[in-house]
Amino acid sequence: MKIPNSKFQIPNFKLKILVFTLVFLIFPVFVFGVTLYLEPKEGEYKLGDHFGVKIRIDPEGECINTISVDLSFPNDILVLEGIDIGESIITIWVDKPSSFDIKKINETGKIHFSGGIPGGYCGRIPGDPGLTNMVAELRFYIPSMMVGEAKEETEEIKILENSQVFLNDGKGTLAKLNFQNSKIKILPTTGGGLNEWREKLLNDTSPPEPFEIQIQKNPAIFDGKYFIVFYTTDKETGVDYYMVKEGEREWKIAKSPYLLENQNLDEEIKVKAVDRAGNETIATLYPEKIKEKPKEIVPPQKEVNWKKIAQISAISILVFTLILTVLTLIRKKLFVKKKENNSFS
Amino acid sequence: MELWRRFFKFFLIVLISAIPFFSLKTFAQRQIPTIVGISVCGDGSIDGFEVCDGDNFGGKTCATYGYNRGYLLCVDNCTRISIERCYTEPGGMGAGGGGYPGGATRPLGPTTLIVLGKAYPDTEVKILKDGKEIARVRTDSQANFSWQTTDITPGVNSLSFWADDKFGLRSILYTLTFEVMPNAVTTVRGAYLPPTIGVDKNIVKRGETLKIFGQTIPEAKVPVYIASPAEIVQETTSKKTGEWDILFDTTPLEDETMHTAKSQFKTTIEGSTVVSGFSKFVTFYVGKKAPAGICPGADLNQDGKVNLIDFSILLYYWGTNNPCADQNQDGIVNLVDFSIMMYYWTG
Repeated sequence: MKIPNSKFQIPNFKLKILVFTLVFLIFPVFVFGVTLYLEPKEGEYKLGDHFGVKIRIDPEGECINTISVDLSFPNDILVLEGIDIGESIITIWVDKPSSFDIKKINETGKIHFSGGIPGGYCGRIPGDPGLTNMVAELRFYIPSMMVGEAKEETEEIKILENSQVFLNDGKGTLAKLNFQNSKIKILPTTGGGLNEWREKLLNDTSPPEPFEIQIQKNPAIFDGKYFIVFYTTDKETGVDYYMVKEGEREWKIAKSPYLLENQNLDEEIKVKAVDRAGNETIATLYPEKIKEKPKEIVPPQKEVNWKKIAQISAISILVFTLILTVLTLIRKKLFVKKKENNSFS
Repeated sequence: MELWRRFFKFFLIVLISAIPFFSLKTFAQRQIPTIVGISVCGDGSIDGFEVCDGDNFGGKTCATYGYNRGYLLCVDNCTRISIERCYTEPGGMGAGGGGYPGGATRPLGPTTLIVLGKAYPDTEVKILKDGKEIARVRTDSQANFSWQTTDITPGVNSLSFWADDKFGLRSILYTLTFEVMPNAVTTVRGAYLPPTIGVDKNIVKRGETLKIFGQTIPEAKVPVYIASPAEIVQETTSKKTGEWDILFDTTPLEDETMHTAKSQFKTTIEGSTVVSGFSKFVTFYVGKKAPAGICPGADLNQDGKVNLIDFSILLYYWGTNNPCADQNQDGIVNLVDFSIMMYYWTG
């Protein structure tokens, strides 16, 4: 092997093997690493079709704890219908698009979410009946009415280079990442199969898991004012958003941590977790002040003594009957006397 | 012809060169401890530690046990075949396979989760579901614990475990993410907490002896890994009470530098070699004065726990340079700090 314009030459066959061996020894460093991939890798769809693309992660022997994914999709031919996070391995979300963000996502063609797994995720456990490596599932729709002439198109849903995964090493080390995108071929014919996402939403009747509201005060945040923290999960379609209600005020869309409007803590606080199918779970917190509030003094109500009532009623009836009898007798006697007087006269 | 020879030569070189790659990958895979396993009792498939599942007895019948009538029962969460319904009758026609007679369907049981694991002898293991504490269980003198619940939603669940040892040292948060099957008994075996680890001094002069200690399962080998330009490994064996320690000479370590140490346990359980995951890493400074740390271990409100409240404080300071929330002190509170918080999470 000769390198042009160079004196460097690899002299013999053994050395060539050595060079290649060294190259391949270094090679695994580049091959190993966490893989963020989209499933299916390739798909063929028709106009009017509904389909899902799963974002999965393979830690390839590493333990990871934080995932930040940025994706792009061709928003001129695809419409994002929903994001399913019910089966996600992420338990604590930092950024999670809600159903209110879908319109904006469709305008930009970009999706971002990030979150973590306390204690980390080290891959599928042997014997686990599921793959259990899903970050989220994106549900798309191909509009049947497209502007311009219908033609076969091949596009890509891409995981962007700025996506990040961190190792569960307590140092926040960035993992080496490999990406695998999803190619979609759109045929210029009309399809329109089953809308699985709509079916899933219709079948999801389970509300989010019960949860607790914690009231907090910390000099470091919110200028030392009272705030609440809350969090729950939903195993079907995932929690969409939260709402907070203080006392008689209106429900408000909120995020944890939430600064309380009423700093007197003399009203009940309600937090509503709503999943993507609209099922709700409400947690209620009665602050200490409400708990300490003395109960209203209600005058003790006398028990109704039916026996006594019966006795009084019986005596009354008896007395009444007696009076009536006496009166009747007197009247009768008076009548007889009058009759006698008339006969004498 | 010359072209073919060259091509063959090139192909041979590539093939030989690729051998180290494949062997390296195989080696790397062997290093991953695969001690934890799941079996699902109720899915009809015999897996893991199961000997039967529902009506599946792996081809066994009462005849296998010397009876000519009756049927087998699958009991103890698919770990035992019961022959109590098998019997012998003179002139009996043959024994049934198992399950419910007359084609009756097995009744659906509640969704159940069983976790079997090891921590440290006579301690309390905290169990978290999706990051929130849901239960506490005590270990026996051999560091074993078991926990069972029917209060679990089928689907992907993230269960985490941690414990304090007799010295007050805290374990890592050990998390398992898996699918819980509806109306079946999902059993997770091998939830083994790595050892705890601590040091007797946070600052040592170079050349001084440092005591590195902790607790793990009884009578297991405990290799301790000290990070330096070349990793130093020193091994010891834990006592019957699970305590272990090593006296480490700091001479080979770089001066005026922060160093870390971590450990794991190695033992034999039911004839198989079991290697735990790595412990939390402990830091110590070799030199005269260590740099001061702010809000160590992501405990931002310093209440001894790392949970949703600390996460809320982190979110409040997101994008700022708050020195407490900025765990890696790089001038910005971001995903790196969140990742450190996930590592130290206690629920």
